[in-house]
Amino acid sequence: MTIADRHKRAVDEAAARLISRAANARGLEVEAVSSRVVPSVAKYLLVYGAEVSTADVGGFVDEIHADDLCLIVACERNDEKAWEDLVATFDPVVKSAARKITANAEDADELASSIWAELYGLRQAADGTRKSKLAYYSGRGSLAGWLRAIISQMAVDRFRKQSRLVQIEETREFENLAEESSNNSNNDHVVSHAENPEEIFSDKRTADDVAEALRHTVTSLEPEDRLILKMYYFDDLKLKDIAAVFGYHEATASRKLVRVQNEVRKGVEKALKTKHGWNDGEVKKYLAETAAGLGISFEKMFAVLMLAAILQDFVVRNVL
Amino acid sequence: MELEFDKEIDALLRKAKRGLPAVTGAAVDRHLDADELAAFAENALPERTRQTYVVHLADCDACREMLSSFVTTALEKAAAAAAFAAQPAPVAAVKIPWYRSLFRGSNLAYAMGGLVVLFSGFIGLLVYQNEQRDASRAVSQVAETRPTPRTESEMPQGFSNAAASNTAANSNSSSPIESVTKTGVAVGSANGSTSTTTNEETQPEARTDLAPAKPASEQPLVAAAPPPQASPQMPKDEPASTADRDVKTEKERAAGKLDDATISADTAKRKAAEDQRELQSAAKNAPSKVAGPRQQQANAQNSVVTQGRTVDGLATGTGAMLEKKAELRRNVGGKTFEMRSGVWYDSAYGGGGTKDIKRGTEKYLKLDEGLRNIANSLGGTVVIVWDGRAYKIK
Repeated sequence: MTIADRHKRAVDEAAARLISRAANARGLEVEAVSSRVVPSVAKYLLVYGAEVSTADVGGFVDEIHADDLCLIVACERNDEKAWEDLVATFDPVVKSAARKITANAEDADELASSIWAELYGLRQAADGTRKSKLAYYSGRGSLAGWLRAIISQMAVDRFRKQSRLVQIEETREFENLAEESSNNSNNDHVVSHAENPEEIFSDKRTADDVAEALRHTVTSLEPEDRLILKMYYFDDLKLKDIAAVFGYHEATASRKLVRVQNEVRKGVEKALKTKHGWNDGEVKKYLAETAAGLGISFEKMFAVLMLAAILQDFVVRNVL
Repeated sequence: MELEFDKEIDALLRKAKRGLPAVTGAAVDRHLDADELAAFAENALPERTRQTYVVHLADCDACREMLSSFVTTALEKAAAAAAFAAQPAPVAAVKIPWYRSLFRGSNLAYAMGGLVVLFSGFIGLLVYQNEQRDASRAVSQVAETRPTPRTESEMPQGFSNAAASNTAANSNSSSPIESVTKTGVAVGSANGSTSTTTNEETQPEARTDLAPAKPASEQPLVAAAPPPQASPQMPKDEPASTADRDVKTEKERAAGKLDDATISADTAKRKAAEDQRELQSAAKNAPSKVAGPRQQQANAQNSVVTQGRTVDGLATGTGAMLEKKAELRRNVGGKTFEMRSGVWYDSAYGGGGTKDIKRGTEKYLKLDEGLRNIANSLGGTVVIVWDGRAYKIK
């Protein structure tokens, strides 16, 4: 008896509840829903072993988006009305997400139409059944969210096909990244006076030290803290969005971020002092200069913007 | 202790962006699929599953970036979808900060261009107003100087007006009298040249008008005064050599002045037209003692000038100057004196320092009698060259 068989009854019962929960069950019977739910249960729950209880399984199914799943199951059964409803309800979602993720309206439209082709399953499997992406929808997340994820994935896949950039980034050597980091740091470094080779050398060593300390510290953070930190600093997500992903209140996310910053400070200072032999003054000076350097670069950016505006004005005046 | 947002670490992390490498050995050895990411993003996974994914996402840049990219597209889910249904592209409009719009497109450029146009318009207006003010000042100057010649030299108002308009045209002179005495000849010839270049058609007319007036005025002046193009009516009995020499020098001077004269001709045209209108009426009411040939001349000139031909107006000025010159030149004791700015100057006086002497003082009485006689007969301030020295008798 497999784990799935063991929970068969719980799944069926939950499927029946799901159908009754749905505002529009689209005439689906328990068996159709139940067989569709089992793979999801296996994927998200049973993979962790035998200690999963029947109650856990029932609870899992009970948290499935009933209407969304019923709609998808009906579509998979070639229910015309279901397809109409799917397109009518979610085409705006698909197009909106496509617009956000692509550079121009043409690309967005093309992406959106290819999503629908994928969902409909234009490709025929070997056994004659249509191979549709709909089969991957579990119902745990909302259908709209899943569609957006599909769109992001497809956009990234296309981008990868167009340029191998993303994969290169993924497979980039640890050392390359470290070097890039230190180079970047060196370039941005406010104390890089550039004339004196010794200073450049010491600046580079300084930047290397800091990059190494930072890397060590971030790696040793808790996975969730690390994820929050990366989403905030590397992906430029807002605290509000991060909070939504983790189910926090925004204030909680903010507190967490501050705590993570504090941990990073402690870790970096400790690593610089113990591993690289810096003293307190050096650490303090470097951090202060880094913060100041960022400010300066903002000013530079503003100056460049103003210059660009004046140039543009000049050009327009001359042309006119 | 309440922790505060750490700006230094914040700066450090922002700078290190992308600098931190992915760490291998994540708990999930495959990338997350769309369903997993979507469920994770909505915090809709069983806690245990979720933790596994957190570990993976914390170190897998590709999956984390995918997650982040579609989390940002999920903003205002329902609202965005509804707005999208109503309106094709609601997205771009929402997220742009207001100040970005300043730098987008050519808004700023247009604003700057507008400002430039505004400023140049303003400056243009100022310049125009200044010009107007100068013009009116010149006119008022003319009006102020008008009575002076009449009282001093009993010149008819019309002529002094014409002279004044000439003065205005050749603005290097401060008063009409000065311009007559100093540059009268030059002006005359310059005007003559100008008339040739600017209005050839009307020049003969002016000459014929001028011609009858000339005999009425003194002959020696006429020799020097006419335009270098020597009108055909010029009397033959004049000393040709002097006339030629004068004409030559006048030509040279006129050539220098020609540019100025042409430039000021336009300005003069307007002023002259105004003045001439007054002149016309004034000439009609002119005192009876200037009637006769002068009146005729004035009328003749007016008839020309009122046709709006400035050059003719200037020619009128020349005629007037000739008249005036006669009044301002006197021969006393074998010496010729010219009146300039209310001072009688000995024609032998070529500038330079003078010995100032007041009438009735001891010094004055010590002066040579011939000198004193001249000074007394002229009256007023007199500059006399006597025995090679210049005296200024006051």
